[in-house]
Amino acid sequence: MSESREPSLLLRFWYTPIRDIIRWRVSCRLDWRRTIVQASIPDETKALLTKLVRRTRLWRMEKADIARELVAHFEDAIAAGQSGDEAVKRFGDWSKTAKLIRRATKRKRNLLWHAWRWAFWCVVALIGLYTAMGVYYFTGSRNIAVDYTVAMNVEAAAVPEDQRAWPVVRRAMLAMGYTQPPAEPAEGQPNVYSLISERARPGEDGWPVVTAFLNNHAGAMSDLRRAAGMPGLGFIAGYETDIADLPLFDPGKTLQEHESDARLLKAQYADEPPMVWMILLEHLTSLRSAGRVLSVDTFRALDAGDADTAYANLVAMLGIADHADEQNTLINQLVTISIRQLMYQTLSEALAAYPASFSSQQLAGLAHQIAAGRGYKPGFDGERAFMMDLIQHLYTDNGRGNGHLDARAWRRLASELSSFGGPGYFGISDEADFLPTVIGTAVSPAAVMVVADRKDMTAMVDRFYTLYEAEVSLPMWEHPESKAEAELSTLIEDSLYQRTRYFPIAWAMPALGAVRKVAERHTAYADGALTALALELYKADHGAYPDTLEALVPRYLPTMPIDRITGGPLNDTLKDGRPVLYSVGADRDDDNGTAAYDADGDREQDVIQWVIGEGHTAVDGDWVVWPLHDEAVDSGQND
Amino acid sequence: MKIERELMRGAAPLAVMTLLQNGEMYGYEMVKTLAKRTDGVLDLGQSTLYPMLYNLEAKGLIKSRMDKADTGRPRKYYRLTGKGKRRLAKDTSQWEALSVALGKLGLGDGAGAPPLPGGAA
Repeated sequence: MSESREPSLLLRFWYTPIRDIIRWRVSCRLDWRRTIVQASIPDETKALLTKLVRRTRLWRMEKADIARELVAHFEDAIAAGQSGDEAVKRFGDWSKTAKLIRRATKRKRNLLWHAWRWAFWCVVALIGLYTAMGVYYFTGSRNIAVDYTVAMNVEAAAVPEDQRAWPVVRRAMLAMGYTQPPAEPAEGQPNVYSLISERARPGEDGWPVVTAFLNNHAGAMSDLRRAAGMPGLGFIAGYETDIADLPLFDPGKTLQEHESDARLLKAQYADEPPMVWMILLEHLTSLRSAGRVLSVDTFRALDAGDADTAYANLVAMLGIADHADEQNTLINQLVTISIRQLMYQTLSEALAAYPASFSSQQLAGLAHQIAAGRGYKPGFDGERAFMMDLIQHLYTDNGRGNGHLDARAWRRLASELSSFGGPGYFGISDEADFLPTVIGTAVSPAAVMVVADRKDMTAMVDRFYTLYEAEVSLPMWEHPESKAEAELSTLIEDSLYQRTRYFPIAWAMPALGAVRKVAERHTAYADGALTALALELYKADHGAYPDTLEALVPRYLPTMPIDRITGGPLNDTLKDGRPVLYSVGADRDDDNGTAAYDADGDREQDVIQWVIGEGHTAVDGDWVVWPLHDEAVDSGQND
Repeated sequence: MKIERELMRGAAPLAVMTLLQNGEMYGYEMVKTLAKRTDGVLDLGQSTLYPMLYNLEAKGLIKSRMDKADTGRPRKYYRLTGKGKRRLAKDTSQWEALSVALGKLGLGDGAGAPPLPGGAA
C-alpha cells in the first residue's frame, strides 16, 4: 500500500471535526484512511483494516475511532513478534467483525439518533402499510348483482295484464284532466282541482263547480270505482316514465323529448343500473288525487240522495289505498295510510252531515272493509332494499360477501345526488364536489382503515331494520321508546368515529322510529271509525246510542276499542247528540273529549305523544279519534 | 480446548469485565491476558473482542478513553463503570451458583454432589 499524499486544504477541513475548527485546529483526525496508511504495520494488515472500517459504513468520527484502535491493536501484535499474515489470520473474519462493530457502535449513539431512527422506520412502515392498503383499495371491483327493482315490482308484475287497475285509473284521471300538474283553468274560472284538493263540501262557494265537474265525469268516476275493486294495480315502477303514462305524468313533454331523455338515461347508466331509490313512483300522486276526488264525490252523491254511490266511493277509497301499497317502499305505505285516513274522515263527516243516509247493511259493509285493514303496519323491505342497493353500489364484491368502499363510486354517487337535489341534498356537503380528484385518490386508502367493510356495514344495516321491524308490531303504550332510533341516534351523533365508520348509514338511513307512531295513529283512527259504525248500527237497532261502549261487544264490535296511548279502554262521550271517541292524550288526563287542538290551535300530533321529553309539559287535552279533523288525515306525513 | 460459541457468548463478557475489575486495559492486552490466564481456553477471537467491547460500552457497563501508551502509540483503554461493577457482581454470583449446581450433578470435582440415581455407584 502506497503512502498517501498530503490531502488538500479542502479535504483537511472535510476531515476535521467542527469543534476542532472552532478552536482553529485543522486536525484532519476524521481521515481514517490516512490513519491506516500512516500506521507502522504491514500492508496486509492495512488492507484488512481498510476493508473492515469501510464495511462498517459508520459515521466518519466513528470510523476514525475504530481505525485508531485497530491500528494500535495490530501495532501491538506486530511488536509482539507476529508477522503481518499471522496477525491477519489471528484477527479472524473481518467481514463479520465489521458487521458486529457496526451494530454495536450504532447502539452507542445518542437517544436523539435512536428516536430519529425509530421515527424513520415507523414512517417507512406506515408508507409501506399505506401503499399496501392503496393496492388493496384500488383493486377489487363492484358487482351490481341484485336488481332490487325486480323485487320491488314482483307484486305488480304478478297481476295479469287484463286485471290491472292502473290502465283504468290512468284513463279515468286523464279523462278528468288530472295530469301532473293538473290543467290550469281558464282565466277567471275557479280551479276545480284546487277545490277538490281543499275538500270542497256542499254549500261552499265553489261547490256548484265541483258538482258540475263530477257530473261531467261520471264515467271516469265509475272507472275509478271499478279500478279500485280490481285484483291489483299492476303499475311497474322504473327509472323512466312509461310512454303510456307520459300524458298523465309529464303532459308537456313530446315523444321526441321523452325518447331523448331515455337515451341520455341509458347512456348515463350504461355501465351499471341506477340506484333503486331513483325509481319513479309518480303513480302515487295520481292515487292520492283519486282518493280525494272519490272523497268529494261521496258528498256530491249524498247531497243528491245517492247513498249507494257514496258507499261505493268510500269502499273504492280503501281499494285505491290498497293499490298504493303495491311496491314495498315506505312512501307507498304512507300514501296507503293517508288515503285510508282520508276515507275515515270522509265517513266521519258524511255520518255527521247526512245521518241515517246509509243502510245498516252499508254501515256493516263499511265496518268489514275498514276492519280488514285496521292493523295495517308499514314494513321495511323497501327501505332495506334501498340500503342494500346503496351498499352494492358503494362497495367492491370479493365474491365471499365482503368488500371495501369504492371511493370512485362514492364520489360519483355524491355528485349524482348533489346534482339531483342540489348541494347539501341528502346531507352531502359541497366538499364532495370540490375535493380535488388527486387528493381524493391519495386519501382514499385511509378509508379502508376507518369505514366499515361491506360485511360489517351490511350487518349493521340489517340489524337496524330488524329492530325497526320488531318494534313496529309492538303497541306504543308498552314500548314508547324506539330502541332502534336511540341506537341510530347514538351511532351518528355521539361518536365521530362511528359516524365516519358507518357513514352510509348516517348519510342515507332515515330515522324510522316515527313510522310506528304513524301506524299507531292509523290503528286508532280505524278503531274510531269501527266503533262509530258500531254505534250507528246499535242506534239503528235500538233507537239510541248505548250508555257505554261495552254494550257494543260482541254483537257490534269483537272487542273493546283501546286507548292507544294508555292501553286502557277507549273513552267516549256524546256532544251535540253525536258520539265523540277519544284517548286521554299525552297528559293522560280525561278532558271529556275536549281536543286541545280545537281550543287553542295546538297541533294534534302534540297531543299524540307517548313520551314527554325532559323539561317539556304535555299538552292539556284529549286525542279525539272520532269525529276526525282535517289534520288527522295529514298526520303521519309530517313525521 | 475450544469452547462452544453458545457457552462463550455468556462467558466472554463476564471474563472481560472480570479482567477490568482490576483496572484499565486495552484490547490487545485483554486478548493476551485472557489467553494466558486461562491457558488458552478463553482465547477470544480478536474479531469477537472489539464488537463485544462496543456492546458493553453501549450498555454502559464499561467506559473507554483514548490515551497514548508508553510507546507513544494511541490506545483505547477500557474500565468498568459503577453499573458494570454491579452487573459483574450479579453475573459472578449466578455463574457460581451454576457452577455449584453443575458440580452437584457430578460435573467438575463433584464436591457435595449426591450420587446419581442408578449411576456410577
